[in-house]
Amino acid sequence: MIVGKDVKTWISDRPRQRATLADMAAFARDWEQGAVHRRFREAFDSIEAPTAEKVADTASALFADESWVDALIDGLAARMRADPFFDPPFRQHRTDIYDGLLVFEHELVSIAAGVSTAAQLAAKKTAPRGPTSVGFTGHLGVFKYVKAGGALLSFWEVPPITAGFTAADAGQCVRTGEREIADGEILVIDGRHQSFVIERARSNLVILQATIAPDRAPLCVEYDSASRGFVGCSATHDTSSRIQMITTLLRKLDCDAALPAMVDLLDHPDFFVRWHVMKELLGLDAGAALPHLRRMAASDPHPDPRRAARAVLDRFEAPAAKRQAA
Amino acid sequence: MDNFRIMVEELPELETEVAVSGSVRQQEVGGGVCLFIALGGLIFSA
Repeated sequence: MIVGKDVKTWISDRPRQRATLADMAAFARDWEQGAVHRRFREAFDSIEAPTAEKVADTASALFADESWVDALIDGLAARMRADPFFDPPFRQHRTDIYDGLLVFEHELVSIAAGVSTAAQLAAKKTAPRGPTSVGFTGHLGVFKYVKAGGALLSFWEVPPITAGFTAADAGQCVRTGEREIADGEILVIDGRHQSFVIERARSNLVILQATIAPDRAPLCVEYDSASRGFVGCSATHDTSSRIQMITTLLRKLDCDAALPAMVDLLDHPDFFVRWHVMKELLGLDAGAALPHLRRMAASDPHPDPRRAARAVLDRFEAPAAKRQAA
Repeated sequence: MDNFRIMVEELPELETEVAVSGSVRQQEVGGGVCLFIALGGLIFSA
């Protein structure tokens, strides 16, 4: 932490601030043009017909060499020692049990390097809290435990999370085992049906983490850690949530010009987006929405929108509704 | 049908309710999602 006189001096010293920023920019440029970044980029660029598994295999192979992690951390530490106002020029990736830096970004994968401290893990385990969940992310991840910290991981599985996922058929999560992780071990976790929990650790963990973009499930799903039953789910892709918010806004604005675009979104791959858009379409122009509602009730690939659309049609076609429309 | 004024709030919800991206109902035990979710948010909003 930087306090007091040093901050005051730095804030009033514009040339020094510019020097810090220039040093950060130079570090970012050197990293992005350096051998490690180039090797990663070429490896992922060269994957033909990329699938989640192919990308995970490539990430695993790249993680076999971890010497670049030491070099990167040494480089950052040297800069921060020389200038306490030097901030690592990477996006930060922080949860309550992990502090990391996003060191490589590609359309197929993002790679972060970071630390989970034993103190963070202990605080998480011992803090008072209500019901807890085991989460399934919906996408593949590759984890390299550069320093495993003597961590004991438990492993969990659920039925595959697919585009046809329903709460009714979510089943229960099952604990499939536990084991201590070794330094240098690489784990591939398919978040479409697998997860893990860090049960305990004796010391800090240094973790490389590749998050794989292709073939992800539409949902991130939670199961209760005690009952093992389904708790809830959320969209994995923020674009889905943005579409929902924007179509609601368009309906509230009575934006008839948006109708064709909204009709196109009725073919969105996510079932919850399709139904949300259908509701907004009904609110905007029920007459225009009706043929699409009939189509959804008859042939939507997911049972939930089919059922909801059928319920609305039944309401429309009830005698009272017909009298009201007349 | 053209005369209908549909109240969106009265239309049925799906049996499988899906929350907005990045949200959770309960605190996580500690592990996969805790390590994953912020990064997931980063890459998918990039």
